[in-house]
Amino acid sequence: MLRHLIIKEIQEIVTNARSLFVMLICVVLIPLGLYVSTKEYEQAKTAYIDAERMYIEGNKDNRGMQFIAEGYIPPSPLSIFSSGLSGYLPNKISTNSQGVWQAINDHGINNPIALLFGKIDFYFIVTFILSLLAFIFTFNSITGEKESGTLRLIAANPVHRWKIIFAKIVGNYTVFLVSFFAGIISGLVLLTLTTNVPILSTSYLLPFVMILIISLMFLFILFNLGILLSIKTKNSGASITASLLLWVLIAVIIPKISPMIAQIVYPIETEEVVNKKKTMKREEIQEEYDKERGALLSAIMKENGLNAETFNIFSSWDDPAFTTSRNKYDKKISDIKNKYEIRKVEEIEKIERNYNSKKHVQQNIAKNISRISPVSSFTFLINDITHTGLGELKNIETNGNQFRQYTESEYYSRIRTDYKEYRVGGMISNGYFGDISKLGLEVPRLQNYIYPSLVDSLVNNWTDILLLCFYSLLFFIVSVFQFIKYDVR
Amino acid sequence: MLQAIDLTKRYEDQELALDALNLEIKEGEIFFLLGANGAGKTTTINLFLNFIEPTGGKALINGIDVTKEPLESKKYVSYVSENVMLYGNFTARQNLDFFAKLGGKPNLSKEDYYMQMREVGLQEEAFEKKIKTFSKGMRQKVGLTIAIIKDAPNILLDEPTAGLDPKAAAELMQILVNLKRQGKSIFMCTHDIFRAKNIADRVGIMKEGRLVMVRTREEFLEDDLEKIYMNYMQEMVIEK
Repeated sequence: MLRHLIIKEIQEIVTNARSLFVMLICVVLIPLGLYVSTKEYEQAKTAYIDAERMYIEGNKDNRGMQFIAEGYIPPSPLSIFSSGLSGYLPNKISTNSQGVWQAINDHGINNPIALLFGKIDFYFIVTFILSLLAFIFTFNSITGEKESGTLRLIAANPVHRWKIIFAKIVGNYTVFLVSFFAGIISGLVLLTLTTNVPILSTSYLLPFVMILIISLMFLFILFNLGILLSIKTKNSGASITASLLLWVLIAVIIPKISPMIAQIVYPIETEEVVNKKKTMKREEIQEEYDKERGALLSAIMKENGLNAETFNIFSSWDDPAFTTSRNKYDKKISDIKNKYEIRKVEEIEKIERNYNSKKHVQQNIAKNISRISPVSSFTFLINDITHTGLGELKNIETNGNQFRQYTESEYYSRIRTDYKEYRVGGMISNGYFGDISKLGLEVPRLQNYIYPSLVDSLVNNWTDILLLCFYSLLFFIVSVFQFIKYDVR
Repeated sequence: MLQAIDLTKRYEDQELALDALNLEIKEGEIFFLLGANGAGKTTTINLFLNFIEPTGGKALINGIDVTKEPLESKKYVSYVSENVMLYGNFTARQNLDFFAKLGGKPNLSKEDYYMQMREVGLQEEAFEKKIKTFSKGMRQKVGLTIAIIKDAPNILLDEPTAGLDPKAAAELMQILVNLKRQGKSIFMCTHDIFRAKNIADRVGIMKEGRLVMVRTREEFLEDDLEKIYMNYMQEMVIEK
């Protein structure tokens, strides 16, 4: 019996113009979205290689404590499925001898029109186009049959109600999936034939299979929601209106309004203000350090019969009393310098920690509110799998710290041993006091930017996986139970 | 056999749609239920098909309580609705095939369907045509074929002649007579007093949820059914 009902559903949907429309959309848009995203990734990769090469070549002879090291972040290969925040995420990390690092975005705007309208990648197609089509597919699955009287005819036969609704869900979903997979297969064939991306390798295929599984779950939720609306509305006109309103609510309003609510509920300072605070703190500590080291050198010089206020550091550099003073000063200053460097790092980290924790709270409020809509859970999950989501911000932080440590140990610390700075009166003399070429320094680069593994991405987003499973089950069960009580008259 | 024992339905808005209906339709009997719109005719059919739950009494199909055993009772009843739309993109034969399988006849061949469609007077060229190209009369015949193919001992018809031309309506009535000869119990709700006089074995008149009159064929032919029916209708208008 169930088989007959499912076959009837499939036959009915296949003969409907809507299924042809869905097939066309899938077969055209999915390959197109994948192709365009892949080409963009290839361009971004070329730009990344060129930028890093130019940085290394341009800084071969630029050595010293003033040198600012740059680490270029490779574009995520999985961004071909979802560009997410990739246009807004930093593309390089810079760090200096003071141990301060920052992530910089100097992508520029290559395609402003595409940015303005939003890119059509796989994620966009599933989230905004297929989700809408899922509603259009199902909006009159019950009301339509009620209006045509066929539901009464079916219900006049010895058929369990749950079988009728189950067949509706399975039949609609199956036909939709045929179109969906036709689009996927066309896309994969197109990418294999026209691009250099090894799309069939495990590094691409495994995450893509996971993205597909999550997409199927997401579409299943929308199918059940569409059918539920069809059960709860009186006629097809009301069904399509309710479906469109619900789509706008879950796909647009809830995800967009959640960050605004979070900002109102838990306001925090802007990053610009925090950066200013950091600069002020750094300058304040530097000032204290300058005072202390100036006083130290003045005191030592006084012991050696020199007056720091009137001493000309440049014309009297080789004065034996000053040489003696410098040697004494060199022995004592490193401890003081270290003390201030540590303080500087600690104070800056404190400001950052404080800001990050507030930002984290605000972000969590926004995330949790937005999770009312399955679109949000789907978005968080897919973009983190493709390394273009919120998780990537944290990952950049981890990689940034690693790059800072690497640069410090492999570059700055080696120069620092013989780098000295003297402040006498109003004059400063500084530089490397040795043969820097003997150090064999290489321009530091971000050699190994690590993206989280698929398992890590899934584990980090377990809430959203659970929510998608929950929504799938919830709307399926509610649809079945609502239909069991449904008035077929 | 169809039985209603004190069958009562009061809707949520407290409207009494059916008031303690007692009725029995025997094998090989055609029963016409007449009445104005809202008199309770369709409610009676809805109760027999378990589309709604009674608030009192019970409806039995071949002795099976439809509320207690809805699936079992539906094995013994076929249903033809007022406006049979069916699946427009399916052919007549595909529609028959689907509903035959639902009705517990999964092994019928194409020829079986063709034969039944011929019997209700459908033209051969219509068998494999999409239902959406059919006239209302043709769709009604397909609807009746669905009921016939199920081969249930009881047939419920809800105003099946509404909107049909006289020729199509007459053909439909002839089919019902044939079914009666096969021993089927036929329960038909209608406004069509002319058809009732032609083929009904008994006629009932409903008024405001109550079965106010039942006449056998002999009685209503003698008493002038049209006059009786019109009197009830006039009473209703005056009361209102």
